[in-house]
Amino acid sequence: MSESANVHRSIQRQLLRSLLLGFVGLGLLFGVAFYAYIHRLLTREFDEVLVERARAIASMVELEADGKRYEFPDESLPEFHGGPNAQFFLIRRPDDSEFARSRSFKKGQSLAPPPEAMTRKPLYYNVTLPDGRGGRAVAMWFSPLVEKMTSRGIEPLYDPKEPEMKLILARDRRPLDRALMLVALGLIACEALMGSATVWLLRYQLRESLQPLNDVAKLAASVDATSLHQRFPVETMPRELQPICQRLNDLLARIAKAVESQKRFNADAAHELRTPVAEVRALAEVALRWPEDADATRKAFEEIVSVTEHMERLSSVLLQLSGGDGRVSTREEPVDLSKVLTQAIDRRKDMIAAKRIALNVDVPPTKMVTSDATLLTAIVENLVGNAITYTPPGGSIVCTTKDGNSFQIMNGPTNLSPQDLSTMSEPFWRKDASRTGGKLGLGLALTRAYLSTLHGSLELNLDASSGLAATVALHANDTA
Amino acid sequence: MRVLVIEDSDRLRQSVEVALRKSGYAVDASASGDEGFWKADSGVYDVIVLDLMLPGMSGIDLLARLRERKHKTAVLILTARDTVDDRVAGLDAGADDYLVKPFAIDELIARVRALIRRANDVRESRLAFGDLAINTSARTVERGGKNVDVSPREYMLLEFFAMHAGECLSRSQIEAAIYDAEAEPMSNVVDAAVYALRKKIDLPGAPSLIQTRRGMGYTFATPEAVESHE
Repeated sequence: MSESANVHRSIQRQLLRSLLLGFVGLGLLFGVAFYAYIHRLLTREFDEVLVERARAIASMVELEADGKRYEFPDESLPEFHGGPNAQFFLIRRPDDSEFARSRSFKKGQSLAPPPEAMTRKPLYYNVTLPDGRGGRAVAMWFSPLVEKMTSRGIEPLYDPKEPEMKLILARDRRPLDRALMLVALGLIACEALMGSATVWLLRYQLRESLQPLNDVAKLAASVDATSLHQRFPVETMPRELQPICQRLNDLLARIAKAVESQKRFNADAAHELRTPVAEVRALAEVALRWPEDADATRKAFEEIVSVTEHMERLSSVLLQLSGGDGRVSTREEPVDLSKVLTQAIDRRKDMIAAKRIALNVDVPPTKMVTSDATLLTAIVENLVGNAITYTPPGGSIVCTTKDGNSFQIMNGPTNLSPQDLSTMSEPFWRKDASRTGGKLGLGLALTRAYLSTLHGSLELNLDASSGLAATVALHANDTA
Repeated sequence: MRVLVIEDSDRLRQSVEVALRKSGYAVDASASGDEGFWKADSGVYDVIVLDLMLPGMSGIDLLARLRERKHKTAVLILTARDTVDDRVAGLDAGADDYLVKPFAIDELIARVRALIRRANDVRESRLAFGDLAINTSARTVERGGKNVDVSPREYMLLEFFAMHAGECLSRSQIEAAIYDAEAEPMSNVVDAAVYALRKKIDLPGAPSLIQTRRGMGYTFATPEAVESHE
């Protein structure tokens, strides 16, 4: 599931999404906080104005000495008379009976009482005004002035003993709402503007930053078998991409090398096939052109059969080589190396005798190694065969096992040059440049291919006095 | 006309040898570079068919040494290497022609024939001396429009004469040209062959196209002899 989710993952989109979420989220948070702060500030200011007015009204209430009548000069305050912008007040006695109300406040209309119990502090709350508009109200206790007889005559005075009255003042809250609305709208506009600017900026920046990645992708897409010499620029790349480009370059170099060696191998193989094909064609054409000589014609056919046998051998070895890069299934088991070596030598006893080769096999009677019997036999057969072929008459061959899983076949004297040593493992190498004598020149290449399957190694050393030493180490990976 | 084949593949060498011999050439063959050079150095060959990858001396070295020793023998390189560089290297080393393996036997023979014509400065495959005409590609001889039946050896002799018309050719030159190393010609074999050829190509009563030069050999198609055959 995670794989399918990964299919369309885009770094650009992912970065854009998370960065945008972060920026817009932060912006929103800031906007909301700012709005809340402004809301509180404006409401408090509005409420202060409201309470000041309430106090002013309260200060205008004067009880006459009998306590029943009062003076309230609200004629001078037209907003309490009614009309579209009317304000309202209501004064209640301590026993909650109505004491007075503004002229704008018609009989039968009511004003919602404070939603909670009143303390000494003024209480602010939202109400619906008697004419239906949304309003803001303040409810507060106040001590009315009482007319008293003093030495200077009748004076309005505070009487702490006089019970406090309750004043509710309500007015239209739409100016506050409008101001808050404006602030909110401004914030939203700001947020939207900043959001889109951020999107544009992020996209631009991401595109610019990720451009090298696209360049790499484009270049990678343009590389094919004919343009393996191309390299990714490393120096001009951002630091994060430099190791990737370096690895890609290394990979390209390795592929180019493999393709080059494959091409050379193919060319060599085709070249190898030319001589036998030429032989078959010449034999067949001569036999067709001059068919009178029955003996010669029969001989030509025999020769053709033998050439095709050689070609068969060549093609099967070529097949083995093309499939021998670690893909052959092997079976690891204990193998008696001494037995494999002595059998390979026994099979060539006649040749050894004919060339008067001095043979020295210094291998313990039973030398067990862990390997694939078939491949190990092929390797030993190849090396022993080569040693006998390339040892001149009267020469010597020494087989020794070294410690662990390795053995050495040394033959000498030899007419090989150090230059031969570097090229002799290549396919189709023979000491003699000519292509006759039935040898395919693929023995060492095959041995190396087999050994790579077995994770072993072959080392060739040339010594002027002792000759050529081929050392095979099996399981190089185990000892490492 | 005598051809030397230097090729290390036994089968190929034998096939080419048979094909050239059946086509009327005297053929010698060699399987190694050293032996091939030794034979080529004798200078009796009209064409050398040379493989490049040889045991011992390589084909290119052999060719370079031949040219160094001022041999002008035409050399046809026969090789499995077919890149432009290989061809250039072969031709630059002094080869006259280049044939890539595998090849058609007929093409090889035609190229050998062309090389022989070129070496003798003959442009056409038809050579005429009075009423005698030799077709070198069909290897036929006509006199006065009528086919003359000649044996391969007689044809070889006639062609050798025709290629060297007007030159005085010694008996040993003629012998080297028409007999390869395998044949063991007797001492008077050239005289006998010339006698047999004269009987087939000369007009009765007219002077022979092949004039005997006492103590020197033979000259073919002197102007007087040609005139008498018109």
